[in-house]
This record gives sequence, C-alpha cells and structure tokens, in this order.
Amino acid sequence: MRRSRLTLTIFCLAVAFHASGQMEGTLHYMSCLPQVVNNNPAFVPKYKYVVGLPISSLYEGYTNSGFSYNDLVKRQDGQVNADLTGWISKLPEKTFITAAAGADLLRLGFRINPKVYLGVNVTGKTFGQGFLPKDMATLLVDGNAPYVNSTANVSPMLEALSYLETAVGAAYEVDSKLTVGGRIKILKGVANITTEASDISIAVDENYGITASAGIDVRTSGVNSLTNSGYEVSKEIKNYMKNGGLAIDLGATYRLLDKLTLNASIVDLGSIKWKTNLYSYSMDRSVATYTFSGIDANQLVNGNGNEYIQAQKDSIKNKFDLKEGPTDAYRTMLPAKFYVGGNYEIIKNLNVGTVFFAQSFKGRFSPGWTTSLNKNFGRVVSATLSYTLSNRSYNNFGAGLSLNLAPVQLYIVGDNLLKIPSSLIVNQNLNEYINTAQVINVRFGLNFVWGWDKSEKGTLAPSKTKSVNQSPAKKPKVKTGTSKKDASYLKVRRKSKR
Amino acid sequence: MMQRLFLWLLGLSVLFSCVNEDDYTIDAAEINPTLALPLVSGSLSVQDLIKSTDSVYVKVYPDDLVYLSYSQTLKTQGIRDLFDVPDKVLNRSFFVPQATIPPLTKDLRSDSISELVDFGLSPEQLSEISFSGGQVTYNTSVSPPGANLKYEVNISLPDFISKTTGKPININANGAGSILLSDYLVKLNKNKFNMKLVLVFKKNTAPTVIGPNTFVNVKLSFLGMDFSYIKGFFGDQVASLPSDTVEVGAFGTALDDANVSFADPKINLVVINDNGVPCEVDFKKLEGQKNGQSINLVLNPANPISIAYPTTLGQSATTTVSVTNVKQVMSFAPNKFYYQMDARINKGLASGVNFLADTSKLRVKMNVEVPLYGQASDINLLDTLKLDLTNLDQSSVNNASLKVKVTNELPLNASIQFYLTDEKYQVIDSLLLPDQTNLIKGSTVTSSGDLQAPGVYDQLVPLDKSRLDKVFSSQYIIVRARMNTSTDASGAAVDVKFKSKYKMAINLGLLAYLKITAKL
Repeated sequence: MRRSRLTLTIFCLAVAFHASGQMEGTLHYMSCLPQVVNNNPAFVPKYKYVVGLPISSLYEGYTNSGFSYNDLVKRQDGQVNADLTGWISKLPEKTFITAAAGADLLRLGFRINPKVYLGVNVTGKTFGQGFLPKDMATLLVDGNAPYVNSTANVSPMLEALSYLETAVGAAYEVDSKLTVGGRIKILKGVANITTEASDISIAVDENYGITASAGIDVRTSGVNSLTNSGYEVSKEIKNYMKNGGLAIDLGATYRLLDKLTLNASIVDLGSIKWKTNLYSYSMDRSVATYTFSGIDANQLVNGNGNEYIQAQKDSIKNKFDLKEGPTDAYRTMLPAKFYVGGNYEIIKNLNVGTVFFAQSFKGRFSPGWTTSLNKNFGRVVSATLSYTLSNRSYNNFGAGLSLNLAPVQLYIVGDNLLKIPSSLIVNQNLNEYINTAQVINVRFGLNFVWGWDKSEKGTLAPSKTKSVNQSPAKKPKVKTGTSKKDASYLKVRRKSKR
Repeated sequence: MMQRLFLWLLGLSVLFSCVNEDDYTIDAAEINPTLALPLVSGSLSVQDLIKSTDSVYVKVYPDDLVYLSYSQTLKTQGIRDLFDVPDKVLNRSFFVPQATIPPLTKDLRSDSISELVDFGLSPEQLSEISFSGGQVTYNTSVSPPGANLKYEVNISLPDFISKTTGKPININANGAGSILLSDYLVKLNKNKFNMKLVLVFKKNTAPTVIGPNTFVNVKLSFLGMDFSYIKGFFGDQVASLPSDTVEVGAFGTALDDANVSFADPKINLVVINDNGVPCEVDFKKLEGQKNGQSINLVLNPANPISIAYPTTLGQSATTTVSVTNVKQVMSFAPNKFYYQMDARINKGLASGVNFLADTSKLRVKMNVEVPLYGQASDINLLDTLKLDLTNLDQSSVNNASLKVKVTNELPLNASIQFYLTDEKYQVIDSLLLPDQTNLIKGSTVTSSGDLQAPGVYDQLVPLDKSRLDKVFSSQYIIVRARMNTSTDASGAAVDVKFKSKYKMAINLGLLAYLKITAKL
C-alpha cells in the first residue's frame, strides 16, 4: 500500500514537473470565495448568499512553459543583453505561452436549502495561446546548420478566443458523503483566431540543400473587419454576439474519510460555433514545397546563373502564395479543464489540500499540481499558502488572502504571489519576481456576501451530519470560551465522531 | 465600503508599480548562427562542359564515346561562273534594185542571207546551250522610209530548237518582234549556229515602184541569255574559289596552353563536284590556326588534287581527301581551320566533252571529328565573376568553410583556385590555401580508358580567416581550374575516354559562422 502510494506520488510529481497549464490551483480550496465554484460546480462556498458586481472578480494569468525573463537575458557591467544562445539551450521542444483574462460582470449565489446551492454568473473571458517550437527559435538564433541531415519543425500556432459566458449552476448534496454539481454555460463568442493546421518545416540535407514546406490553415472570426477603415465595433456588436456556443461543468465531492474529502471536476466542456466576420489564411503544403540545392550547375556552366536565380525567386513566390479570403463557419472547443484533488482537515479551520489539474486544448494536454494549506482565522480572515508545479516551473509559491468584512469581501489569490514580498524586501522592487516567473496569475475583487456557513458545507464537502437541517431550537448549545457560531460548528463535528 | 475598495485597488497598483523598468530595456543582442547554404548542385556530363554554342557539334558514337564533329561546306559556283553567253546583235540588209515590180498574184521569195553566227566565246567551244532566259528580238525596216513595198523577212534559226515542240525558230517578220529563249536550246558547232534570212515580196494587185538605194534592213539581237546547261569543251581555265573557315571552339581557350593528345581524331575533306569537266583542286592554304600560330594539313592524295567529275548531267562525283598529320594537327589544339583553293578545269587539254548546269557547284566539305579519347594536361578554365558584398558586414562573418562533395565519373582531375581581385583585376589574394585546391578528383580508368571507379571528394574545406576577410574588399573573383586527365596507378598519363553517361555530380555548399550583434 505504502509502495503504491509512493509510486503514485512520484508519477504525479513527474507529470506535474512537465506541466504547463493555465489554471488556478491556489483558488481551489479557498472555500470562503464564491469564485471557488469556477473550479468545481459541486463546491459550496462558505457564504450562503453572494452578489458580485462587475468588479467582483478580475483575473489575469500568464504562463510560459519554456522560459522566464531571466532565461532570456544576461546582465553584465550594468547592461542587459539578450542571451539568445543561453535561452535556446534551456528551451524545451515545445513552448506554450498563454495569457488569459476574465472578469465577472455579474455573480449571484445562494443556498436555497441546505442541500442545494444555486449560482449564476456572467463572465467575460479571453484566452490566448501561442506555440513556439524550439526549432523555430533555434533556426533564428543558431541558424540552419544544426539541422543538417534533419528537419526543423517550425510550425507556430496561435489560438485566441474571447467570449461572454452566462452560466447557471447548482450543487446538490446527495447524502452525507457525496455532493454533485453542474453548470450550463451559454456562450457568445466575440472574436477568435484558431490554427486549424500548421505544418511548416525546413529540412537540410547533407549537402546543405534546403527544403521548405508550409501548410497553414488559420481561421478568424471578428478580426478581419477590424482592419477595415471606418469599421466601428460598437455598430457591429450584434454580429459579434451571433457566435453561439454551449458548455458544461460537472463536478463532485466525496467525503472518503472523516477528515478527508476528495473532489473531481470537468470544467468548460463545450464549444463555440463561429459564424460572423469569418476570414481564413491558408497555404497548401502539397504546393508550398520548395527545395533549393544551390544554383544548378548546368545553368551556371551555360552562364545563366542570374536568370536561374530569378526563375527560382518567381517559383518560390508562386508556391508560397498565402491564400486569404472569407471562409465557412467553424467550431472551436473551449480549453477544457480537469481537477482531481483531496482536502484533509488537520485541525479545525486548518486544511491541507492538493489538486492535480490539467487543461486540454487543441491537442495540448497540460497538467499541473498544487498543494495548499488553508486557514480560516475566524470569519474575518481566510488565508492560503500554496505550492504549484506548473509549466515546467517549480518555484511557484502562491498565496490567497480574503478579508471577509461582511457584507464586503475583499480578496486576492494567485499561484505565484508569495515571491512578491520576498522580492520587495530584498530588491525593493518586483523585478526578481517577474524575471523568474513562468506562472503569474492573480484573481482579485470584491464580493458582497452574507451568511457565513459555520457547518462543513463551507469546506467544500458535504456536512458530516444532518445537523444543518435541524431547527434553531435544536441547535447544540454554545460551549464556553468559544464564539457562538464556531462553538456550534465544533459541536456538530464532535457529535458526528461519536 | 468604497473606501476599502479604493484602498484595496490602490494597494495593488502600488504593488505593481514597484518595477524597475531599466531591467526590461535590452541594450544589445548577439547571436552566432551557423548557416549551411547550398551554392551549386547538379550533375554535369562532358557535353555540359563544352561550350553551349558548340553543343550542336557534340555527338555520341554507338559505344557512348563522345566526339566533336565539325563540318563546314564551302559551296562555290566558281567554275560555272566562268561561263557567260554574251549578247549578240546582227544587222543585215537586203538591197532592192530600182525597178517597178508588176502585180504579184502570190508571194515572191526575192533574196536570202545565210550565215554561220559565232557567239564569240573563248576559250570554251560550246556545242549546246539550253537556255533558261533571254530573248531574240528582231526588227525589219525599209529605207528610205515611205517606200511602198509590201514584204516580209523569213528568219530561220534552224539550230535553235524548241524544247517543247522540237521545232526550230522560223518566223516571218515585218516590223519588230521577239522570241523568248527559255524554251529553246541551241546546237552549236564550236560556239557557232546557222542563220538564214529570206526577203519575200508579198502578193500585190498593183505594181510597186522601187526607188533608188532601197534596202530592207533586219536587226536581230540575242539578249540576256542565260543557260540551264551548257555542253562542249570548256577550255583550260582556272577558277579562284572563296576561302572558308571551320571554327572548332568547343574548348574555348582552355587548350591554349594545354598538352593535348587525342587518340583517334579524324579530319577529311570531301569534294563534291557537279561540273562535268576534269578538275584539279589546288589548296593554296589549308591550316589549323590558334592565336596567330598555324599548322599545315598534309593531304592524301597530295595537293593539288585531281577530283572526280560526273559523266552525266545532273549527277555529282565525290572525291575524299584525308589528312595524314591529323594527330599532330589536333595536338596543336587549333581553334579553327582555314582553307583557300583554286579549281583548274581541263588542265593541259585542248578538247573534250564537258558540261555543267547553271546550278552546278563545287562543294568542299571539311569534316573534323575529334573523339574525346586521349590525354591532356594543363587544361585551363577561367571565369570572372563580379562580387558585390558591400551590403554585408565583414565583421559578421566569423569563419566559413566550403562543403565540397564531388563524385566524378569523368577522368578529369581539377585544381580550383578562387582569385580575389580589385576593380582593375589586380589579384589581391587567393581564397584557398595551396593544399586546398585539389577539389575535383578524376575517376580511375581501365587500361582501355573506360571508367573503373569514380573519384570522390567529400570534405569541409575551412577557409583561412585572413583570406576570407579579403572577399569583402574584392570587386571580382576569378575562378581558375587547372585540369588533367586521369593517370594510371603509377601516375603515368594514359588515354582516357569521355563517355556521355559519365557524370560529375557536384554539391558545393558554404558553412558560414556568423556573429550578429545588434545595439538596441
């Protein structure tokens, strides 16, 4: 048993080391925040009632699975020089750079009865992902000589989508162990760039003959018109909202042991069909293939070298002709996310949680892992410290802080925030933090919340007993020396232990 | 609440304003890419190496051996042009005595003139002319004018026979007229033909009074005569023929200083004679030439040469003349052959039966056939290329190497050097070190000169940095290849064959180590 656990642990760590996701691990167990349902619709926040206005939640995220800024530069004699050779040596074969942003325009959450928590949110989301193959960087920095007798794959990919999500979800406590949740999301696509195909390669043979091939199929929606003079987005906003889509979130929590709760969820399983302002850029690889082995010796012997070169130029121009024009409607999937985790209550109000997460998008599966220590200091302050492996980055110490000044709740949470204070203390600036970070994400905002739930519902798990259903008259008495509400919560736990 | 929110956001903005932006201002970037660039590739046969303008002369024997075949034909009508039929004008008169001619009930033949007319040719003595052009014009008149004489002149040329009717010229003329000669041939006796003129008084119901000193005049003109053939004895004459040149420039100037030995070259002259007359061709000059030097060709049969002639009009006779010192001539590696000659007909003869047509020619065809089978050394090829590297930063090239891979089935070794020159073609330096120039290795050959194994050169040739730097200050690059045919295992020269299937596969590339620095 111990060996199998060890093996599982090693496997998970190994996966996480290569992970490159765009997700929020630290948020996962911050049960005081209503936004926690973003990760698992079966999670039930601490507060029974939530109202979020447009500033309730702002999210910014950046990940880079290949390098940090420090990998790119070298400082010498007070100068900052680009160290591209060093950069190349550290690059993995595939570097994904993602940027994401989101903002809640509206969020409502309320527990309609002890078993059901309903939530509604309207959120604007933007996600972008670029793929940089190492071969492309190597070609630019080291030239093509390293590829003699081999092929450089220089197929970049770009994905970007922006949409408005209107979601209705609910968590339902099936029994004392299991809670399930789900959310349906109505999506309105705003703009999209998707790379349907990118197959660009440069092969160098032993005699330095260079063969370039390019197959490209990039489709866009809501982008091309922006380049037209006189085009005003405000007048065309109706068209932007014609790109419809649907997505669902599914989740569950299960109390495996008295203090151990497991959770799993699938988020953003859906797609958007893009119908308006469609434009594509394509290149047929079967045509766009050209080999240059040097000037043909026969042409050179006959004194036709210049004509030959001009003919080759024309040939290249004809072969690598980027076709562009309107295209048909197409569908893109959302970046689907998966979470599997467990939360263990060490002592009262102090939990340790771990979550393995992954994102699947356009053929890229990017896992990650976060372990966090979560503490509620009474009802006023909730704090989380976390460690995250993500994007081949292992120096991500995260933190979350929520000031629950009901009805106002101010919060900030991020997977790599903890280095900020150390950077400020040591260097009096954030540079050290920014320069070494491959993962930066932060969510902050202000919620209006009411009804702190003193039961374990707020621990994201089903209640251990059905005491929450008891009438106020049957509530356990408050024990001396504790606050009224906390003592009640403690007693419920003790009863269940018996 | 708003105060709290404000403080919250203020805190965040203060936090993220703690950034030293200087850290994100990159001062310089440097990369050191290594570029592998293909320069030249392809497969060359010996046909490709020979000047393209001469490619029409490159031929292949059934055994695949490549040979150069030059052929030039001097077409001359120098003999035919010896002959011309001059215009001939005859004025003849009939004297009509003073008298009164009584009424005539029928025509009365009065007087006649019979004459043997000579065309006046010399030294030829023609027996027959078939005309292709010209005419006979005639004009009769009475003097003094106004005489009331009714007459005709019967003009009879019995030797002028129509080629369509077979009948001679025989007309009654009163006034002017003409006869086209293109339908006639004339039988001559040593350039002479018969003519007869008869004066005829026409029938008349009234008497005719003839005054004193009355003549009937006849003017007969043979004008613009051209022939389709002539026959007879043409005399002992000499025709000077135009000179001609056969360019054999396939190797350009490559062989100027070369030691060349072709194993089996052939040069011959073929004289094709349409003229039915004994003829002797005398080559006043027949030589191979190169850069102001020349070498005479020795002929068999020896010069002057009596050539064959046809015995029937319309046929030709061929005489082949060979060159006995052909190997010597080809080893001289001429770039052209020059010949100039005379043709003498009926040499020493006083009679004979000759003929020729107006289309008859004397064709002197010179054939030079050079199988690429032999041996050569010190063949030089030069080419000059303009360099324009002014847009390149010299300091950006750290180093470079030439990637040379040549798989050579041709039995030809080559040492190649690239000379860098200034704008006045003054050599600044050479690109390769002396021990780096043997870039093309010839194939090994069998004892019969056939391919045994290709020569392979596959190396990365590092370029000396100091020499490489001079490329950037050069205006021209002169490529010089010095070539020798393959030798045997002991290093002795052997005759080698260049077959059309033998290829030289060339792959030339450049490996350039660059250093690119950008101050930002």
